[in-house]
Amino acid sequence: MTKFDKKTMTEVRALFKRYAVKVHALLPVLHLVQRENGGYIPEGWAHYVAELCQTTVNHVRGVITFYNMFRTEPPGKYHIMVCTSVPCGLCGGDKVLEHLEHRLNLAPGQTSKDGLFSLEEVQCLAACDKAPLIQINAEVHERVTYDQIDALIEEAYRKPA
Amino acid sequence: MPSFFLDEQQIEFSQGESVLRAALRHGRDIPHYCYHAGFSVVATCRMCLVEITDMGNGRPMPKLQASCSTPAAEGMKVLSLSDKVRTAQNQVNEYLLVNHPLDCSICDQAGECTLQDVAYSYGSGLSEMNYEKRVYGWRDVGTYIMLERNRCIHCSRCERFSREVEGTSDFGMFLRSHELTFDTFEDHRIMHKFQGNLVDICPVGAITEREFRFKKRVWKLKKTESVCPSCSTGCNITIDHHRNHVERLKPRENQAVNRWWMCDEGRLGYRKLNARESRHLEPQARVKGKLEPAGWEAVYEAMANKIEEISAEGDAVLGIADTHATNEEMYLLKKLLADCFGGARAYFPFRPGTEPQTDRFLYTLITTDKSPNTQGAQAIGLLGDTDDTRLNSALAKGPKLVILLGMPCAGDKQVREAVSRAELIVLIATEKSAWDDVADIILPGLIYAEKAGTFTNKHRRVQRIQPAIAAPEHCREQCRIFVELREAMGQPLPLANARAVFEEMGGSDGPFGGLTWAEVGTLGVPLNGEKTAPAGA
Ligand code: SF4
Ligand code: FES
Ligand code: FES
Repeated sequence: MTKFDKKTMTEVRALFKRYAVKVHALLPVLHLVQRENGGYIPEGWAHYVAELCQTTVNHVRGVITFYNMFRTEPPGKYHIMVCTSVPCGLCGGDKVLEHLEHRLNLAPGQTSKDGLFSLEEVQCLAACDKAPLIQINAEVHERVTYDQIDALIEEAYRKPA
Repeated sequence: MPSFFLDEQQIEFSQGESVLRAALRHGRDIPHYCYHAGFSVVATCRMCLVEITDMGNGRPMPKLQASCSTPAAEGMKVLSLSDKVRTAQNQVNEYLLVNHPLDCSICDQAGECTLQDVAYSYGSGLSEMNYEKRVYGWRDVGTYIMLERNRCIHCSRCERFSREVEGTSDFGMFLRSHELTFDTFEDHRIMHKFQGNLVDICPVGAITEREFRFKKRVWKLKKTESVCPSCSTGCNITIDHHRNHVERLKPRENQAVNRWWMCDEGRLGYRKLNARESRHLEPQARVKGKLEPAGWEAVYEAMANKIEEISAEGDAVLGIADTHATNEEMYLLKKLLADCFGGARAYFPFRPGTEPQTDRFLYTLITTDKSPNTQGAQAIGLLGDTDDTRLNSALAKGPKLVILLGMPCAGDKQVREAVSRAELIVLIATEKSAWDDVADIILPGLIYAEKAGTFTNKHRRVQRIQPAIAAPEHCREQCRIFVELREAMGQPLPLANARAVFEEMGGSDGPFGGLTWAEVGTLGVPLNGEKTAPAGA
């Protein structure tokens, strides 16, 4: 259903209290939408959020498409983000991405057919001193090597559920 | 009034006004893309950068400032032509050309493109960016417009117009940085009646008019200032024409009437201006029940004879005008009846229409009265009622002579039947209509794009139209027809043209008293002693 449940609504109301106007709570509200929908924002929600935050639908869509962290497609169970900004790039971020593309047979932005993995190229994750790095769901893996990456993938295959 | 200096020139400003706005008001140009006086300032294009050597307190601003968002201050010293500014302008423009295709030769906007103009006057005229460009393609985004996002320079005017002025927020700003795009969302189609304005405000050829696309290079067009006759608002327009063919109508800024805007219905009015099949192209007279083409002189003579023969006066004669006629034509009709037919009277269908009740100024432009001069007929003193009571009772008296100006009540069978019983029915019209079956004599007049005159709009503001294109060979200006007819009847009225008629109206008492042709000018004036509500007030 394109609607927050009662519990989430309490959170939304708490957010609205923190800002002078409702539209200022747009970002945290969108994060809630993403959380409640298994990691992405289905299109229908833009209308609901626009109404909730008293703004236009296109403004909401603009914000969703502006930020990397909002996704409009369902991610895999393991969502792998690879940083290719300058420090990571210098330390081989592009090679890490390439390696993952081959291993998973996915292009950035795609989700595997079994829904297990999705791959995304992202901008700086604010841990440049530990470049190159990848983030799998909420977990950051620093100074990764090919072997480490392969191990992570094997592990994921082993416990898919 | 406080003032500041722009390149040594003293410029007065009102409190809170930006440097750019004040400069533009004084006829100075600082190149700009995103700024438009019609909506909010976002200062994103960075084209309007200026150097401020003195903020008014003796101190300079260390960096170049966007003049669209910098409020002017007393004694401020601003440079818009210094080397520092020129270099910045040059570079900003260069960056806009990173992705903008250099396809001016096949772009509809060429010739009226701000980017092109600025590239030549402030930039190097060349792009040194030989990288691969971002490529999208044509998008069918609206019923009236097309979008070519390759050309978009991200000024966001379309988004602000849609949100602030028009209100549907059809346009949005999606993605970011290199991928940033202004567009409608997925297959959403713009349906509102003001899409043409998006074409006007887009500084480049990203948003173009379906009707006008690929038809004419704009530098071939001549622009004649006029007034849209498609409803009683009378938006100020230019008629853009080439070789006697009207290519499009564009709005012309008039803060007291339409601001910068006009509706698409009005724009499409251009189609009719080129039509020939639907028009009367030569005088015609009914011979043995059939309309036959005839020469002007012969028709006048026959008319004068017939009029003498009937020798009708007063209630036995009546005129009916429609509200597409100009003030001058209505005045001449009224005068003809009063002077030559013993005080006979002229009527008109009074259909004042309504204006939408809304806070959105834009939507108040379209009224339900689809004619330009209902208030003029009223002011001149033609007799009209919303249900034609007076006209019907006059017709009930069985007039012998009826003069029709335009196509009044052409759809009203009862009126047509009553008129048809008269002995002589003269029709002065431009277009074919149901009246043709009734008329004994048809005199072909000129449409508004071919003649001079004035209309009185819904707020009783008198505005001028001017001839843009040449009339078909055998058609004559309605004012001239009245003058010539009177000559044939031996009661001449020496008024050479619409202007002379207007000056005579201005010389007498009444609502037009005191007004002059020159005073009406290109922006119009309220009727004598009245104040028209300024737009949006
Ligand atoms: S489409 Fe035109 S008006 Fe809209 S952002 Fe692009 S350049 Fe500006
Ligand atoms: S560049 Fe990769 S984390 Fe900052
Ligand atoms: S006009 Fe000033 S920044 Fe665009």
